[in-house]
Amino acid sequence: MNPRNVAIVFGKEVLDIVRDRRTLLFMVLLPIAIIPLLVLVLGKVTEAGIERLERTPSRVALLGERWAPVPVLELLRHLEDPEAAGRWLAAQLAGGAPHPFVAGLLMPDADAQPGLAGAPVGPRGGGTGEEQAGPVLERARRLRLLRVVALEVRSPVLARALAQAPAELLDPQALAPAPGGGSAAGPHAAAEPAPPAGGAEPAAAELSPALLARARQELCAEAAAAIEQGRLDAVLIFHPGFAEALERGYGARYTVLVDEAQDRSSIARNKIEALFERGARGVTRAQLVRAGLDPEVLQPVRGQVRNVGRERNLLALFLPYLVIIMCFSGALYPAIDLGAGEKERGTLETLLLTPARRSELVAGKFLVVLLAGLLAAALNVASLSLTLASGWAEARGIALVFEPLAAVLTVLLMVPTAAIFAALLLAISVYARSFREAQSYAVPLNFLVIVPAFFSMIPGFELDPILALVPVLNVTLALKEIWTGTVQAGMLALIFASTAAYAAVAILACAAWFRRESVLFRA
Amino acid sequence: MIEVRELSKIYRAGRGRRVVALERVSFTCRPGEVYGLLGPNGAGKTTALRVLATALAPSAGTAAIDGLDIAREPDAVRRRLGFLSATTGLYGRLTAREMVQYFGRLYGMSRAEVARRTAELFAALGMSGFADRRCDALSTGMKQKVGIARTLVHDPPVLILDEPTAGLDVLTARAIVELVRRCRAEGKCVLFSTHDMAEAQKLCDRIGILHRGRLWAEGTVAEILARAGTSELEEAFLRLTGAASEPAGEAGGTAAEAVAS
Repeated sequence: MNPRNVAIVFGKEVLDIVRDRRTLLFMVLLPIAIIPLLVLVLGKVTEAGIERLERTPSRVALLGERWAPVPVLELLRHLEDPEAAGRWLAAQLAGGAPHPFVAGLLMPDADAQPGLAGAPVGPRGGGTGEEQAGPVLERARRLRLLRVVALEVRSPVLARALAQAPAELLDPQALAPAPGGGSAAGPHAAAEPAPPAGGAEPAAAELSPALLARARQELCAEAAAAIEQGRLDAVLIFHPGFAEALERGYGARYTVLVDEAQDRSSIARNKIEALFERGARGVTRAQLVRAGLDPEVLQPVRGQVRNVGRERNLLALFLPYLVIIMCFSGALYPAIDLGAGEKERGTLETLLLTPARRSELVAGKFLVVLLAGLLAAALNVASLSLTLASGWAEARGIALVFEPLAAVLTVLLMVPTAAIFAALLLAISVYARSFREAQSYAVPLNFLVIVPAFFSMIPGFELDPILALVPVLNVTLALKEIWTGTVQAGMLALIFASTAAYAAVAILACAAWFRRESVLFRA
Repeated sequence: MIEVRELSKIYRAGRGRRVVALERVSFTCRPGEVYGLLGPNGAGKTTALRVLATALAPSAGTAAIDGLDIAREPDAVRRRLGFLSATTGLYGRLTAREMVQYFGRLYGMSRAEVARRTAELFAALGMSGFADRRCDALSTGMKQKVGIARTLVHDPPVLILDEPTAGLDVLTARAIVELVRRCRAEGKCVLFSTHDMAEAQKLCDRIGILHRGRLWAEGTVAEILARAGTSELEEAFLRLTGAASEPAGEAGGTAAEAVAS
């Protein structure tokens, strides 16, 4: 092989490719842009979407209000606007001891360390309202917003049942989620024993159980329709005896009717559940205080974990997959252009008739494709590192460690991997008669690359001596371990050797392929 | 000088089928001579020229270019050959100059040699106006000239032109006609294929009639006309190949026909 001819072919192909805007797109722009695009834009968009849904008050219709404690109802009616909620909460505090359920909203988070998350606000402190107005407003601003709306009752059966026998209609057992169906009830509803229906009004005798059952069906159907049509996000039902049970300290029951398929309905459900959970903690706390116990007994055990090893490296998650994919797609376009492109343009024949040997032509073209794949992979790693280092990861408390040694090992492993891709793609490309044909051949190959690369993202899928011999998969797994810092030298050597061997076979096969008349001059 | 002896080429068409594209073809083309392979599509012209140009290996028989065997010394043969066909394309993103120089370099010429030769050819072909424009942006006629310059860059003593005027308009085809005439004047050996009888009659010193992979008649246009006893080359072609009486005929079934191996 004459290196002069290889260099001539290489130089011409580089010039040709650099002048092509499409290559620039796939080889340079895509690998650079895809990470920031994916991570930043997509992340921002979803965050913004969720935040918007969280900030918009969820519309909740109430049923069984007569069984709800007045402060809880009032609280619900003040949750539409954070300022209003703050003022109302501050007024409650200023007016002496608020209802324990309301006080629960002002308690610090359960998982927060005492003394760390700001002074606990609530009845224990017993301070004046003015002192606490600041933190209360601050906390109110973070409240999740709800708006109470009316449920339009259209079914006459349901209207009659609501008017004549609400206690029976809204019996928690009867409204329990259907077996096998999606849970529509709050987590507190089903688990606890039915409370004595102490405050229930006497049921109207003329409503038969069958009629009540139908009314309940109508209720669910109307709630579903109202949610689907966008008039409501959820229905909150206070069951008979709620207020008394809450006073007693246990057994208060509610049900939320939701449509899990609707995001806004799921969010409403989450907000309601969070609200009741906090309120319930307030009630428990008040009970403990009343019984003369320290509220800290709620947390008899407190554990903590401290990582003494290396930090979990976020790069290990993304990098192997992306590097492999980018390397492949970076090599794809030049490979097609250098093989099938020559056939399509009608330049291959004249090229083959020059005194340059086939091996020299293949070598020059192969090196260009190899370089394209490696360049795409390198740009991708650089872009990934910069994106993650730009504060995005830090802001989320995700560890990002860019280690020079890992980068060197990555390059070392990617060279033979890119060589396999380049040789295979070039072989496919020169066999195809046109660009389009080459692209259709490359699709299945693309899958063969994506699938093993994808395996590297599955937790617990680890290298062993057999997997170390599976092309592509071995490299992705090795890259993952390189970036988590757990790779073993022996395994790495085995993977490098096997990948280099596959690359050598692929290159030789590609060169032999280039000598076949039936490949070069396909009818 | 092209000497072709008993050249055969058989393609394997899959499932054990073979296609005989060339069957024991022999002819000679001397320096300063234009030899035309005349035949319809599928006669085996392209196969014959590709074998001579060393792109395809012959199945049997031999050929020599300037005394060099195409099978044994393909590299030396290629240095002596200029090859151009109607389907030959250009690298659209290279300029005309880069295109010609790339091939010059691959023919083993030094940078200085290539630069000198390119300037010479561009001047002779009237290409100076678009030498540094990308091939993408050239008209058909300009592209044709780039192709010609590429073919001649290493100053080959032997030219092989595969249907060089197919699909070209009259003006563009003129460039090819001039190329052929100039090469003959320079003492080069020009072998070209065509299915255009009038073109063959106009340009060729000698003609070989190729049909179904076999050479049916050879000689000057006058000789062939005399042998066929007609004044028209087209009529001569039909009479000499027996194509007029197709598909019957003992000769018709031999070549370019799929036969079980």
